[in-house]
Amino acid sequence: MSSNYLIECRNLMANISAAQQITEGIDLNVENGEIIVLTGAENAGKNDWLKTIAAIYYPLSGTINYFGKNSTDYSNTERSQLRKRLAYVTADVNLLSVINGLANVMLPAIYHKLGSVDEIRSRAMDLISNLGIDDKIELLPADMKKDQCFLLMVARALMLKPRILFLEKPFCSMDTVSSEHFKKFLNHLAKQKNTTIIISTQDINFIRKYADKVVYLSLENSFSFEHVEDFLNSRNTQIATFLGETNIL
Amino acid sequence: MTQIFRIFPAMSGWAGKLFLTPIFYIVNLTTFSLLALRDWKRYTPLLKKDSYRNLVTQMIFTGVDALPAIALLAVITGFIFTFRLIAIVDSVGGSDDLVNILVNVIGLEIGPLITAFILISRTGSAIVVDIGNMKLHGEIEGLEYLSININHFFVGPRLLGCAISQLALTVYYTTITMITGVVISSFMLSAEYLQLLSSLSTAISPTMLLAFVIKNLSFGFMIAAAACYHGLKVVKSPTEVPQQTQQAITNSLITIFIIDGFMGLALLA
Repeated sequence: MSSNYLIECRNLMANISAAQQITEGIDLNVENGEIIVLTGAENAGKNDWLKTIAAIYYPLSGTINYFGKNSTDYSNTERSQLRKRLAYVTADVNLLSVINGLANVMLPAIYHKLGSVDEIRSRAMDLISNLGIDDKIELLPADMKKDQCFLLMVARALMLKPRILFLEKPFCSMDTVSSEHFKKFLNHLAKQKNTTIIISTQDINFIRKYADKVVYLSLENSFSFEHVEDFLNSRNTQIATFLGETNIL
Repeated sequence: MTQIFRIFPAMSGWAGKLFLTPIFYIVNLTTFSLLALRDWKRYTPLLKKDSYRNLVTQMIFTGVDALPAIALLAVITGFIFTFRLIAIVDSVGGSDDLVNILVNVIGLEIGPLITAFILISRTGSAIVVDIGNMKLHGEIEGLEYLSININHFFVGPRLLGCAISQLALTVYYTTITMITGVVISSFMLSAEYLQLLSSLSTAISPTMLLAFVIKNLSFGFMIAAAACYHGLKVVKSPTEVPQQTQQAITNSLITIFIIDGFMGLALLA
């Protein structure tokens, strides 16, 4: 396999629920600065697939290469270090409840000693400001809204300067204005800062506007699309139905 | 006859479980503690003072914040144990070994045990609730996603902080208890008992001092280990937090008595 890709999946099968009857795995090449969307029907296990690609879950079968090296060749310590390059953000986890927003954002960079405290604080403030939540930094997570906590978790993950940012259903708890601002931020991050973004979402507007590649998942099939237009113009009935339903929504 | 064949396997299974459960628990707890120490040492540059921030925080919570409670308890138990012990020895005609009795009973037994009880009820339970709730709310999982080693960040500092705090608190406790008891005795029994204060320090042999240090460090270490171990066992439900707290407290108590027993045997030998 070539080592030009950040992540390379071949016939990858995630360890998902028994209800799924997918027989063919996913082929996916992840490159710098791309926005890749995992989308599909409800209960299709999008988040399990995302976690598998993000090296949080072990795959059921198939191969997956991270930065040119097969996932099975990574030792436990290397796998833990890999997390710094593959940042994963989900609404299922929380910020540390005993420290305020800014301290939460600074924590991973301080832990991994990625600069002096002043440098880290300044970088954290920049990120928080770009995400539009700079008035919340002194608050404890309990005093913030769910979407604000999510944005702070994104900032916290970005403090490690990851190569790839994985986001699990990022727009669910956001209102239209903050969702639109966040989408623009993600696009800027991918296109200007060259950070690859892999998202699980059913937000068809985001797919239309920003996605480069799409993986569609259902209970029976999985389809990888190298270009978003191929997905949007797909004649597959499942995908057409999905696009029709999400358009109505 | 057939009933015996049915009951026997059930009985032997029950007995086997009863025998194996504590052994597995001790093996798990020891492995957990050693892994935590290994990770703490691996990621902590020993010569950099900012590496000890979490350790110092834990020591402040466990050691310094518990000082008023320990001091009050030491004054009260100084009356209950030290004075009563001197009074009993006095009533049977005095003893040349009074200093040795005080050092052995108060310094090596009652002091470490009472301090350990306070540490279990105060710090042990707090650690289980703290880690259990963080686990329940996904705070720990969130840190793991950021390549933060939980053993290094949470467990190691708690183990070492509790061990050092237990030792320091027992020194405070024993000193205050002895002084209170001797002073009360000098007022209520005989002023001669004040001389005990100067002879107490000379009565402590190097072996006793070593036993005192080892016992207290292992008490503190095991209390924190049990607390962290049970805190991290919380998985899904808030009801698991009090259940694990209860188990941590019970197991810590049993563990410190087992350690105390072994230390007693070692000193006798």
